[in-house]
Amino acid sequence: MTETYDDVGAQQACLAAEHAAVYVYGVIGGRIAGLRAPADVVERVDESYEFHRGRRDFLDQAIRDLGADPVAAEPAYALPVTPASLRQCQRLARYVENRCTQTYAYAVSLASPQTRGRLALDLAATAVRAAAWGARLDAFPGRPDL
Amino acid sequence: MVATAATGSDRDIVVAALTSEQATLASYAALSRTHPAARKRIAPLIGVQRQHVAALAAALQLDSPPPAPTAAEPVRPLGSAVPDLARRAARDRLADCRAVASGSVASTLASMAASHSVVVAEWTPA
Repeated sequence: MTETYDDVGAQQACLAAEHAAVYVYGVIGGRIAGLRAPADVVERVDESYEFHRGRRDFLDQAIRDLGADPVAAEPAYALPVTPASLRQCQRLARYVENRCTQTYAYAVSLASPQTRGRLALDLAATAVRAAAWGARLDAFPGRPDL
Repeated sequence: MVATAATGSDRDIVVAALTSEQATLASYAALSRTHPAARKRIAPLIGVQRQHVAALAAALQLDSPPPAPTAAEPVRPLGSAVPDLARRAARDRLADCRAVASGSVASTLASMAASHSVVVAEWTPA
């Protein structure tokens, strides 16, 4: 059986997830400033925001390089929890990383072998980030169907 | 469990991955035996390895996994042994992910690699 791959579709899905992650970390960053959060948490929020911005920009360019129009960010995203406390900020960060992990796992299944290695690395990076925000060790990050 | 069957040349890669995950399982079990104080911390890693082995056996459509390797690695200090094993497994599953033709099998292997990467990142010497 011949496999068919969709590098544009795979990366568009990841770009959409990264737009959402950048938005959510922006919300968390704004909220956490008033919560007297420990320095390591503030640092992790800042670093996570920069990581997802970097992935967003990379994917945007990679999609353009394939001759497609990158998916645009939504004006706003519905949040599953209002980050009113430090714990809720951490929960929201864990949620967004888990969503990214699932998207990257899906994207790996769509992408060509040439593209999927990078997506698999980002799958691992978001799984590690989710764990840093308190996610439990999972045998199959991003694959709740397994 | 949903595991896509590995066919064609993917099958050889998945067989090798299964052997590798079984070896990692045997090594974690050996570490648990030789470092009883860390048994509770190693138990979740063994649980994860068992799930990896089961998923790969399912992808090969085996009724049960083949016998695990009996010769585990020599006992090493716990602090470095766990991250070393996990780092190597992450690297190998990532290479497998790049090598297979099936996107679904690739996603399973990438997810396993991510799981090993979490162990590398989260494991701290007691």
